[in-house]
Amino acid sequence: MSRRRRHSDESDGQPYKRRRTSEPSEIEERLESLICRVGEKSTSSLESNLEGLAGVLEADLPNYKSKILRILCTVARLLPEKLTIYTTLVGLLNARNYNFGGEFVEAMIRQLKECLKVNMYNEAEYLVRFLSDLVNCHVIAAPSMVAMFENFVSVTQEEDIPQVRCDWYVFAFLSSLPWVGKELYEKKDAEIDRLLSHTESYLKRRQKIHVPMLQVWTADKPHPQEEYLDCLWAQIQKLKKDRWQERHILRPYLAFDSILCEALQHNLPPFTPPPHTEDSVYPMPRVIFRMFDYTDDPEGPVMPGSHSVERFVIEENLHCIIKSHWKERKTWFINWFSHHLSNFQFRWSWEDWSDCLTQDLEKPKSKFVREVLEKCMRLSYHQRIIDIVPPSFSVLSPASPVCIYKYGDESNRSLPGYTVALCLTIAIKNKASNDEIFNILKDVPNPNKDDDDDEGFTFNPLKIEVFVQTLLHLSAKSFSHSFSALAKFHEVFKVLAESDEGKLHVLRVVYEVWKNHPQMIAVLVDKMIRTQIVDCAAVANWIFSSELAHDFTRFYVWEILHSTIRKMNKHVLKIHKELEETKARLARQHKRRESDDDDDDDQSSDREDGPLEEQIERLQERVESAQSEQKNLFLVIFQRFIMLLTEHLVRCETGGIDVFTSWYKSCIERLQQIFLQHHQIIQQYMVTLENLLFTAELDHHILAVFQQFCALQA
Amino acid sequence: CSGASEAGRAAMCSQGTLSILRSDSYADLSQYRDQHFRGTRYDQERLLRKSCTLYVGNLSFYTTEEQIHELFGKSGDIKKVIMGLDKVKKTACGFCFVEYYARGDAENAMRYINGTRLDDRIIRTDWDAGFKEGRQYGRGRSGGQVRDEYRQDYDAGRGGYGKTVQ
Repeated sequence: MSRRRRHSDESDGQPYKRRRTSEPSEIEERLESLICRVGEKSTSSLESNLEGLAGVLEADLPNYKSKILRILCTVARLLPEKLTIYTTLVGLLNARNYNFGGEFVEAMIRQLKECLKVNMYNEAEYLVRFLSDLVNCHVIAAPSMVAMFENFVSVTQEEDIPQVRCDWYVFAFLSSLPWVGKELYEKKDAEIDRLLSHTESYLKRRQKIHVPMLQVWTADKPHPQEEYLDCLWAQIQKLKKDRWQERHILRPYLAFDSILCEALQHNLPPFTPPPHTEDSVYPMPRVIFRMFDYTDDPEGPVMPGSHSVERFVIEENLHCIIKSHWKERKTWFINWFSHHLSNFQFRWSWEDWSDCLTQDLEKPKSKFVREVLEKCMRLSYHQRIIDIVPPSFSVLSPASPVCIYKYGDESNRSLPGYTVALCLTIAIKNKASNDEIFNILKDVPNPNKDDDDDEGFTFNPLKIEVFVQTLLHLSAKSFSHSFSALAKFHEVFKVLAESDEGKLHVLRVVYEVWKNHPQMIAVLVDKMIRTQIVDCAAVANWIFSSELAHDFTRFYVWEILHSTIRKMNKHVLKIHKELEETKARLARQHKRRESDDDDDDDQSSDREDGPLEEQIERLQERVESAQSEQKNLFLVIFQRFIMLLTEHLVRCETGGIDVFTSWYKSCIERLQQIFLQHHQIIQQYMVTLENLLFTAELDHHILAVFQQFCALQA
Repeated sequence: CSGASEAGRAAMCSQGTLSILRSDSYADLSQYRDQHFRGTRYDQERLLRKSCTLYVGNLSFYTTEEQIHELFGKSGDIKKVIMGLDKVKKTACGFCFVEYYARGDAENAMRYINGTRLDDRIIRTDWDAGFKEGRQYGRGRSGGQVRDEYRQDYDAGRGGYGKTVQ
């Protein structure tokens, strides 16, 4: 270390050079830090900090203008919760340097266009809001902002475009009004009224087929679940009625009014929304989900009403903060609730829920308690749960997670395969090899066939039963033991489960052995997919099989299905990524060769390309095969849903009983969940789904789910 | 989703980022470095920065692999859980390794699970350079973890008093 230092002292100008090159980046870091930190806790007032910072930045403009522009554009896009702080800062800079203000506005417009082109709609929304608040800071002239909004709202007149496109532009206009409505209305009331009127007629004629799919509660009491645009419209109408008085937003620019009103304003260049393309993906509509209203917490300050614009502003603020600061911590309610309980010794007033004990177990409340208790058990252990809930809750308590081995007792010795099971047990305990296992299994008769098959490559359910039951029983001690067993006897599994029926039967046996321990079933299924003992389609078929009908509405079953779909999706992405990387390598290789000597003869360059091109071809095949498997998985799932639901509907109709049982409601919701949770992938299959599965002949109850899904991106 | 759109997004995000939003203190490396690591400090830190494996400490001796799987499975798919064992007794001695398939899932565990409770105990997670055979054993003289050799307090979940006190 010290030797190096001495050396550098001796060398010519090196320390001097090093100092010079590190300075600019240090200043840039300092600028970014200063800008990002303004508005945070400080001994001085926000106003004096803003004034100070404006002075510093103005002084740095000659040397660091483009850097400052970049940082300000970035905070506009990424720190929306501090919007008015930064618009005020820009206002102060514009007052001191008119040209800078103009360049900033231009940079923002470029950024907005870019965001819209690459489907970054959240960021685009923040940018539009920022621009509109710049009107309040005398940076942008109000008429030119109104003109931009006129172009936004006229998107509703475009033909042959998805509704979600119009939705976004209308939303961008309406959601800026809490900030700038007052100022715009003062300057251009006739134009704003016209825009609001066009908006109202659009909102009246737009489709709302998607809404039932997005609602969480089935009733509208105590909290109505409004479609998000309807809610915002009601809030803006109320705001207008209140003469655009908005009380929640912090407006630092008010303190600088005397300075800012001296500034010259810029006109926004005419802004045409980028046209709709095939690649455009707009945000999906949403339903406003609320758990609290002003009747909750009567002690504290009054909570704004559901149609007050303050409610909108606060909720937007919350969303912004959560979205940008998720890394620094300051789904499913059951998962959250059980985790929450586990951090508080599972203390809960269970007696308050004792009414669910007398209900049918399929009723939502009993189900909720059952599933919570099961999850709590997973985070602790069975006896703990029995101890913490009142004895009356035993009907809802989870089963003790023990393994069920059918060949365990002497009394079972008449079962076919019993002796082989005993043999296998001894062999495995004595560390038998795969070959020895195959040998033992050779003696198992095939109940499906009259004459025995020699190689045993055909489906033999009894062989699978004996082997899997015995192995799982022997390795029941822990997950690690079971995983080791799967790994050690992988070859045997592969042979026994070669056919589709074989795979299905393996899964059935796993369930029979471990039905008291859903967590174990889930991790075993996961391992078997990853080690290719079973495939994703087999798992899907197993979940819809009659053997699992009893557990069909249990949460763990759906966790397994969604986990399976996710694995399939990740697999496709992984191979695709590999393909792209290899293509990039080939491109780089070409580029390198182009810059080399032209004397190389063509033959040798072709030979160099060869292996990479072969690799690309193979990867291309693998991608296509994976995508085909992925599509098949979804088709299987949808088909089985349709079969199951149709069966139920037909049975109810012929029997004259009500269709809407707890089971049915649960099943329909699970179907909706598949659509919503994997919507991006499923969008690729719309044509197939429409032509093959969700055809007009289908019962309207089932078809409605598909139509609501289509409406989400329509 | 078009490739051009993806490339455009990536360009937007790389041009404009803010270091305060990149602040990720929960997922940063701690001060701890395993003294038994074979290799340079530089190698060790390189491995820590791309590791998918977490060390988990302050577990109860009674906490099972299943409980750990359930809790840590919340931040992503787990590849493997390796329970820490007393070198002599070969029983659980209050720590484990959790390996994820993806680094991002391990980071989320560092952000959201570190410092929360498992079996009523606040557990601690830290990056690990990667499991190697032998590292599943406690390094204390009595066979458990070093911290259980010298501690003075009574901890029912960790064998009672420290070994030197006993």
